[in-house]
Amino acid sequence: MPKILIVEDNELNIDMLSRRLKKREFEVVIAEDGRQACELAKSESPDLILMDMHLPVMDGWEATRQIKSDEQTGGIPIIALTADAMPGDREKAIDAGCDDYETKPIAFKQLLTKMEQLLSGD
Amino acid sequence: MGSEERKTSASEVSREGQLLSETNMESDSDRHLRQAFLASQRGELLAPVHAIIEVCERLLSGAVSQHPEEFVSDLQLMQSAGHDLQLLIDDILSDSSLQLASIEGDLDSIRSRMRHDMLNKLNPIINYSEMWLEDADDPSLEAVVPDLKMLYECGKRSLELIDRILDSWDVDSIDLAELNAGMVIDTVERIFDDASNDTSAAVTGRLLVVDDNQTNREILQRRLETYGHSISSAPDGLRALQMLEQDDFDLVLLDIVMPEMDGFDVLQRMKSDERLRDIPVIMISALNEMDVVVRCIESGAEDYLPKPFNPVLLKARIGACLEKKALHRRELEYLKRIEQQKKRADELLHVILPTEIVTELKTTNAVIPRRYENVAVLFADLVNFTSYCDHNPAEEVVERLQRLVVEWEEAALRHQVEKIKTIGDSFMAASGLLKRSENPVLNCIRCGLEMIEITQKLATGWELRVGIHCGPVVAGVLGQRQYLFDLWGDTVNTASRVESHGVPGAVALSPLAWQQVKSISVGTSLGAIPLKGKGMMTLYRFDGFNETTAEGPNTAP
Repeated sequence: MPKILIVEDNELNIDMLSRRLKKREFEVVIAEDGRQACELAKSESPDLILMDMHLPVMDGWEATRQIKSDEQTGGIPIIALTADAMPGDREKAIDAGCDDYETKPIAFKQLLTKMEQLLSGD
Repeated sequence: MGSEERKTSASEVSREGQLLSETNMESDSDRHLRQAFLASQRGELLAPVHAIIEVCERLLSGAVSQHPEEFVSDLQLMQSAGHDLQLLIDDILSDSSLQLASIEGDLDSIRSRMRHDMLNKLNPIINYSEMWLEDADDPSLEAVVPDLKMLYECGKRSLELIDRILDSWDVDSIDLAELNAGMVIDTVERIFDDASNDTSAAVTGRLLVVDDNQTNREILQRRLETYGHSISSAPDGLRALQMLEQDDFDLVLLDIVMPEMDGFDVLQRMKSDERLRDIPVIMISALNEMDVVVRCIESGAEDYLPKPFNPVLLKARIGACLEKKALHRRELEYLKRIEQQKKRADELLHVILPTEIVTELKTTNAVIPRRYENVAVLFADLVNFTSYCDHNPAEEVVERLQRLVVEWEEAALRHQVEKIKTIGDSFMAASGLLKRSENPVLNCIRCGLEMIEITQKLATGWELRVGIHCGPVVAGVLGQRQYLFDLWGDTVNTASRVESHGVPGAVALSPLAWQQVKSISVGTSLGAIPLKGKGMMTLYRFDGFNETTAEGPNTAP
């Protein structure tokens, strides 16, 4: 049962994602800002992180860099979730260390495919 | 030398200023275009969002208790997200906010607001509906599957539209103009296609496109022309008016916002010009505020369309315009026919009645009977006519009589004698009635002599007997459906009696008539005849003019 860390400050999005993932037998942990994300990445050792990029306290870009640069958490795949659909965002996310990228609103099936690829690939 | 230098630099500055203002105008029109596009997208985007709200409301007002609690709370979430989205659209894409952003050159802020705020609201709608669709095996949800699908589809559709709007920022103004123009063209095409399917009405129309944006004009013109329409375009109001003066157009698409003479001015000038008044005008502008609409309609525009057009709306409106124009054209044709018929009636009236009487009849709808002093009345009657009738077919009789009357009429005209009527084979005329004459009796004598000559020339064995009397008469028109101008009075009766006591092939004169011409004439007394209530009266046969006056100045040719 893979453990997923959802990093998201929007309650609706948290509710939605966690419910949908739980239905598919994922274990879900939630962080509501970047700092919490870094902490939970260490303490919970999730199999995958879904990272919203617009976060209070510490934004997703910074949290990603920290998690990826930490020996303990650097191997956890991160999928960036953002409402920014600007061309070049994908590159920016990859550069920041993300393994993949999804735009909001989330196409859930597409996200699942990406998650499964990353989970099985490792 | 110094002043020359200064002059040069001044002209350079002004040239630079011109360039600068042209650049500004171009970017203004780009912004105008973008603003127009965004405004049009508001309506598009609101449609699926309204549907989302409606579906949620319907589901929530229904048998809520049957559904899982979670489903109901998710529906409430989706509903409120829908409401938020609607408010955002109204707020971000409202005319006032677009205009404000446009003025400040800050349409980019709209872009970022749309991205963050709108997508955030759309997110739960798409995801919750999708999630519940996955759970549709729950028997209590079976009935709501179509609604859930609807919610999901509407969410996706909204997303597409938002993407399209966001993408439009990366599109340059020419493509945007193409996009705007494309919507117009598709619609115009459909309308003309429909028109050609419907009736034999004109398939192609002559359209005048008035827009200050060159790209808009060129694209519209080029593409509409490939479909066989005749398109002219004008870059400003003055030019548009010139073109309208020179050519006929079926429809004018008129942009409101233009420099110098704007669409309103053009519209108002068109409507105050009798020749241009009937050409339908559809106003086009990005400013789709009600007061603008009202001003346009009040100024006589057929309709108004926010730019770029909602295809369905444009179809309906141009269709209505062309139909109205066709109706108007039919109306004008009908009026023209009525006018022609009226003219024909007038012509007939002129045949029946003297011109002076027709004029009076037309202006007052009646002719007041009038008394005329010193009118000479002529009666002419065919002798032997009755026996001729007995021995000849009616057709022949009438034909000959017709020829005689026609020639008599012409003789009357030549001698300033007015024909009053024919009664059987007798002819009644008068002189000095409507047109003043120096010697009406003389006119009648000359007329009578020529009539006698005409009758003899026809060689039917008929002889004409002419009698003339003069005096006061009353003249007027009797009847309402069939007009007849007629004379009444003792003078008329006496003239008739003079004729009946006269001599075939000669002109007989009453004593009063004789008095008027005896100084220049030779005559023979025909003896006295009894006149009802007036005792005896001596008649004179006119034998000719005195030698000195026989070929007098008034002698007819």
